[in-house]
Amino acid sequence: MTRNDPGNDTPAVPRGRALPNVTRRSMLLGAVGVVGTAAFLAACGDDDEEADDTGDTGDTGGTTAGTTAGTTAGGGGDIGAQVASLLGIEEATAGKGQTVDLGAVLALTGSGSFYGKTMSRGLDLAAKHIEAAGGPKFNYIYIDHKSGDAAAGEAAMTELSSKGVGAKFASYVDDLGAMLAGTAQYKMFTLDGGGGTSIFGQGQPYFWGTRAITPNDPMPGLFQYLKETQPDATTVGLVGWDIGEPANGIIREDILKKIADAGYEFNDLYELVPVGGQDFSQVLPKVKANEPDILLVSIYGQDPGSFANQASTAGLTATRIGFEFTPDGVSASKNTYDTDGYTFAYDYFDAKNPVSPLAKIFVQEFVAEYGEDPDFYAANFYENAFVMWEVMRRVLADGGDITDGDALDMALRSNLTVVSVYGGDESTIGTYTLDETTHSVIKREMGVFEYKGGTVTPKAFFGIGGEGYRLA
Amino acid sequence: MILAVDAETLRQLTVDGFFRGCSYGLLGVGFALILGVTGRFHFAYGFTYTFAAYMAFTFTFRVDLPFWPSAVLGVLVAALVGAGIERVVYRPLAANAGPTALLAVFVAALGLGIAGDNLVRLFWGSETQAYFGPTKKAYHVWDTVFLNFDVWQAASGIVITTLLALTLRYTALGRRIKATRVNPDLARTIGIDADSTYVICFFLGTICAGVAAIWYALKFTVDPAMGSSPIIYAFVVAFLAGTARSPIRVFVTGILVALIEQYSSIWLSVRWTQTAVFVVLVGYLTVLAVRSSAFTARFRRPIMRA
Repeated sequence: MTRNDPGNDTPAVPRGRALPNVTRRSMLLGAVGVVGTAAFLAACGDDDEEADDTGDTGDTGGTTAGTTAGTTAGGGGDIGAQVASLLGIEEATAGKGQTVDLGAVLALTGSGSFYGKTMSRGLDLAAKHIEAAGGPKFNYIYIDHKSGDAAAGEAAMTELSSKGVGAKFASYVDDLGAMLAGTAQYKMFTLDGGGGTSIFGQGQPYFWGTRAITPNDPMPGLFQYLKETQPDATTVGLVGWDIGEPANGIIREDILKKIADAGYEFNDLYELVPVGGQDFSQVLPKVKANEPDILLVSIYGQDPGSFANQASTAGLTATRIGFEFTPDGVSASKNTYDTDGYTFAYDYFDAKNPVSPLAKIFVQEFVAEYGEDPDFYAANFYENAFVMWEVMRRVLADGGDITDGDALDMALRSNLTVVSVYGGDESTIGTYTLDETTHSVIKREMGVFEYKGGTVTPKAFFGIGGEGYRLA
Repeated sequence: MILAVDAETLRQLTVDGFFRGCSYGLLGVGFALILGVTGRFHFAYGFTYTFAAYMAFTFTFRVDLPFWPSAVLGVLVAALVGAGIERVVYRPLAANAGPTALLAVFVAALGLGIAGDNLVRLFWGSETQAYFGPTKKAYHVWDTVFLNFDVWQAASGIVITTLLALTLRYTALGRRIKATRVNPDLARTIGIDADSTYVICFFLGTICAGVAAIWYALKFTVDPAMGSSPIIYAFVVAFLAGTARSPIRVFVTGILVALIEQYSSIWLSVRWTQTAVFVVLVGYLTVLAVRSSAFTARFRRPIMRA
């Protein structure tokens, strides 16, 4: 007997009608059940824990939370006084009592959302310290550029401009360039400590890149180091991210020039791979067939870890140099970083060895607030908030409006050397310097580091162009 | 040299292509089953792929179960979610949307995929997670390198595909699925519950995705975006093979797609190899369209039957 047979009291359900026993309530219960089960299981452990099998390799520092915490946690009065003293804050031009809206256009969703999270942590902590030190209250307007989505970036510019925001923090080279036009149009003073200017974003109005351009900026110093430690190496090749034209071409031209300037031979290996791809089975045979002495691995996030894991399995013997070191990379390497070691060169923030007083306060307070060591991106955005405050103090000293992007931009130009958590010494806060024309950093502490067995060891230090090169 | 690659590289590309193709094939088998039988463009397939890996990861590292039970449980939970999506989301939508059911389900699937991706980030975080299980072993055979995970992935893909093919061919369930695929209304009139058949197809299809996800997670990592690429390959393989075709054909097509991708890297930069796969798909669909068009009909000789 079928449902449609006479005598079958079960009503036939014709097509196009809702089934009688599927109600909104059952749909809702079903969805809640699935989501609730997943949430329960996920919450059984700490979300921020790495898997135990990664051992001490789970983060860039390898220590447990709170071990570097010292004095007052969470940006209290003590910290405020310390920061004010370190920076020589004058109360009259500190901006106390004012509230300033600042845009923060970051990757809050998508493949780069880990970076949005760590960047926002740096910003939030800095805002707390700045206010405690007698500065204005920073009211961040967080907007999501969805890990490089152009439409999201343009919408962010529209929103910020409609709110009269005069300054913002950005990442991904102002959302892979999508926001540059809006930044110029709305005269929105912008500091990008995530992607910097790269090569293709240089010299753009109101846009300043506050980190070293990788791999280009560390290359001269890196090659000096390699000349000393691997004198027999002669050929260089590269595996890098495909970020589209014309950026790829501009970057390639500069890299090849730097290779030649260092006296190395480019072996024609220049392979671009998709961003975020973890499977390198297509590129590794090419590398193996044309293996250079030195392989520059200009990929970021988790990708260098995946690459290291697979390159090790494939038996690559080239000296591999990366240009970023993150917890994601460590996880993706599946212990390869720990066993084989991972050498990298850039303006890495060594949370285990903060040098200057400001860097020590930053690390101490970050651990107290978030329970883990800060990474490079948190450090960059923390210092960028202080740079913003420094620029605002200059504007206030001139009697200007700290919400005016033009005024902020002019104030930065009046002195392009600004406060940094990098560099410095035991008693002096570090600084970095920007270039008036390119809007990129021209003076910033970088180095060659090696991660192995849970520990990062500095190998050499240098500035842009290899300036001040010295072995660690 | 036309080949522009040495023999060792060609062998490595072939081996990598075969193993990668086993993953594509399994994904395609599952997707083809779902799409071919239900007509639903299940874009949330990528989310269920990711969910399976995260559930297995959670069972291993949060609930402290051994790897294999965790992996099985993870796949099963994801399969239940996949079935639940059909039962709770697609079916009511399709029933109420009438002639626009296809579009409504597609939009819902897209939304589920995006929401699922972000739910994973919300509950598990955005960080990449290293997923450890059995010890990784590398085999060196004839100047090529591959892992034990690759072998297991291929074996499980072949076994699942074969079982599915046998089920479709020789069992009552298989006949029910095929009948529903051909004509769900007619199937209902002869007493086949097409609605529960759909649910079963989603369950089985999601198992395919889940198994592929476990091997991926073991070989690489677990991260919230891991499902965005597999859905594309599942779609390509299913369409190239034909969604109403035998699972074995779909699986083999997956291997061919991967080999095309691998070999195209000989002449193209790696960033263009995925494009090469789409070029093949578009070309194939164009050929099919041209062959079946009215324009070419005049050139086709009519088949004379006695």
